[in-house]
Amino acid sequence: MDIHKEKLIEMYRKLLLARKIDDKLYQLNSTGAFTGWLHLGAGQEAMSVALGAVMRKDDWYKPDFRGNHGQVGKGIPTRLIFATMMNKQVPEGSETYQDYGINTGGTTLGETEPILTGTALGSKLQGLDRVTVNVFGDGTANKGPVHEAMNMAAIWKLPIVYVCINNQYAISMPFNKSCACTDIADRADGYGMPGVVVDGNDVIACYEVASDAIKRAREGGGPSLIEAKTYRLRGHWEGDQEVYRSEEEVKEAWKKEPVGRYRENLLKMGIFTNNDIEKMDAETTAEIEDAVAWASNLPTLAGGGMH
Amino acid sequence: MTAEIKKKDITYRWAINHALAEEMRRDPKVILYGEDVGKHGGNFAVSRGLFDEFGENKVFDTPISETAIIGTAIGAAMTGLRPVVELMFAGFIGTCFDQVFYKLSDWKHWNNLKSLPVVVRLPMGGGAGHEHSHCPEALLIHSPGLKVVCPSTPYDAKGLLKTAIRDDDPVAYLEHINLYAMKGPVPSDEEVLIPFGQASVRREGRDVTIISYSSMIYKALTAAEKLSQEGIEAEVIDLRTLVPLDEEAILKSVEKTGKLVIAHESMERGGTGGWLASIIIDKGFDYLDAPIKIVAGQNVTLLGGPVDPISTPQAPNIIEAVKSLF
Repeated sequence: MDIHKEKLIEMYRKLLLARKIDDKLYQLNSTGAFTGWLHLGAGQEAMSVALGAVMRKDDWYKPDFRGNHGQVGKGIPTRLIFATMMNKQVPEGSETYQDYGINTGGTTLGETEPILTGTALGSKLQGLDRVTVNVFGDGTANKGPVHEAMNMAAIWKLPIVYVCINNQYAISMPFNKSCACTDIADRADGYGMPGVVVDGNDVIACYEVASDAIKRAREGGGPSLIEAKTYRLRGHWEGDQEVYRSEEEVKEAWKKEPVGRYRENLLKMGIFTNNDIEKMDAETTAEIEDAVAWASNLPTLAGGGMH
Repeated sequence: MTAEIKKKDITYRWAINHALAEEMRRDPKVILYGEDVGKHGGNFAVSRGLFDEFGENKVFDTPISETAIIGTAIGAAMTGLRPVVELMFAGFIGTCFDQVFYKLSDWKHWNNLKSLPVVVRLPMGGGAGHEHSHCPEALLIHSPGLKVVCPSTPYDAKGLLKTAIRDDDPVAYLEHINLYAMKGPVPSDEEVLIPFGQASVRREGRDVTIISYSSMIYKALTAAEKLSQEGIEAEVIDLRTLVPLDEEAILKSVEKTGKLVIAHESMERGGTGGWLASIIIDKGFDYLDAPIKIVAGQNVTLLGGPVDPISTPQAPNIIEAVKSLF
């Protein structure tokens, strides 16, 4: 698949930005800049960035709840991301997540999949060309509502793409203990929809399957299921002692993480020079510092939250 | 001077059917779906004829997937539709509790949505036994974002459902299975709507107030007639909607009578009666000259069949409760 050079570069910028936002949040979390539980997403950004590069701004989207790679991928401004994470009141007239088709409510896993299937139903019944992209994890894949939702989407040929970002862990439970099968994507067969496994650390491979699936949905070809195999590089949340996995395992996984891997690829492909990379590094850092400074000066909303 | 509204006697079932048909004709955004509601016309024949009139894009069947029925209705409402969905039995709410209790209730507020027009139709009661006959209104009123509607007459069934469909908030509409065949006068005028939060005084009386709703109203009225023969005049108030609640109507009546009995079919513990009593104690304590009595279902497993009338309160239970106050 030919991917335009600008798109390749934009995906790198978003990957890098998502990773750095993660790092910044980790740092802010230890200073008490916001309240709530922090679920970071390092390692599993590639699929979200690829989906974001294919989706339209108005497509309905439920991003991965872990990290902010979904939001970055969809194009949500960094300032808005930090204001949200830091529980800040944005100035009147600011864009909201909803302007990007994202509704942030719903924290019981597997229970929002029927709702996203409903936006796809609404599109189909009204002849709208807005598709829905519904991301969830390997843990959530085992919830009953996900089954009900996928079955309905299949019988009614709804314009939706289900994406399982399989990061190998549901809190402490490894995928091979929560699931007797090898691939979640195999379940698609049981619903009568296409299912595909992709290397979730390879952003270009992710982009290719995302393009196929979203095109199919938009053109009336019905739903499909993508499983992106990746790895959760940090604990379930900050403070997790991670007694359930070895340091060696995590160390090995870091060697395959998507940001560095994609950077090497772009250098090899001649898309990027080392100078370009340094420049983008500085730009994304500045973007984040600006966003943190901006958000810090906004009034704080009551209460904390789950991030 | 308002023109006289033409009324015709139809069943509670047809009143619901007419409300659906009229609203679907009026507003192309209204859709109806659930298990067997299409060609089959619904488990209780409530949607009979609607599939033929409106077609499969407006009236359609779902697989047995209560969770996805509620969830997709929320999503579809976000895209501009006004879904009316049916759970075949209100008792099935247990299979999709998260969707009703958290998502349907809170989704509008969480996401700063301007509206979330979903109506969930819940056929309740009916003596079909466990998981099929539950009256789950106490669970629903505990959910902050839901409006809860319990019509007792064909007129109310139609007028309240039309209001529910036009409401921009999610509404749990509890229709009582035992009332489906009951006939009563229903206006044929399409614009006869019944506002939420307006109780109806079904019988006036000076001595005791009985508040109730849904099918229990008829047991309260039977009790009131018998009590009248013994010189006790009971005022029977039909709440019609639990959320919003017409507190004013209850307080006004209790101020007059000084005595209150609350009667409902659903189970007593953690039930509607305790909630209603707490409101009267808080806002109308000085009106009371006797304790508040609650006549409600026993805290037992519903088995269905001939034992249901034992676990469900009857008119003599209401009479006994009233008499204990004198």
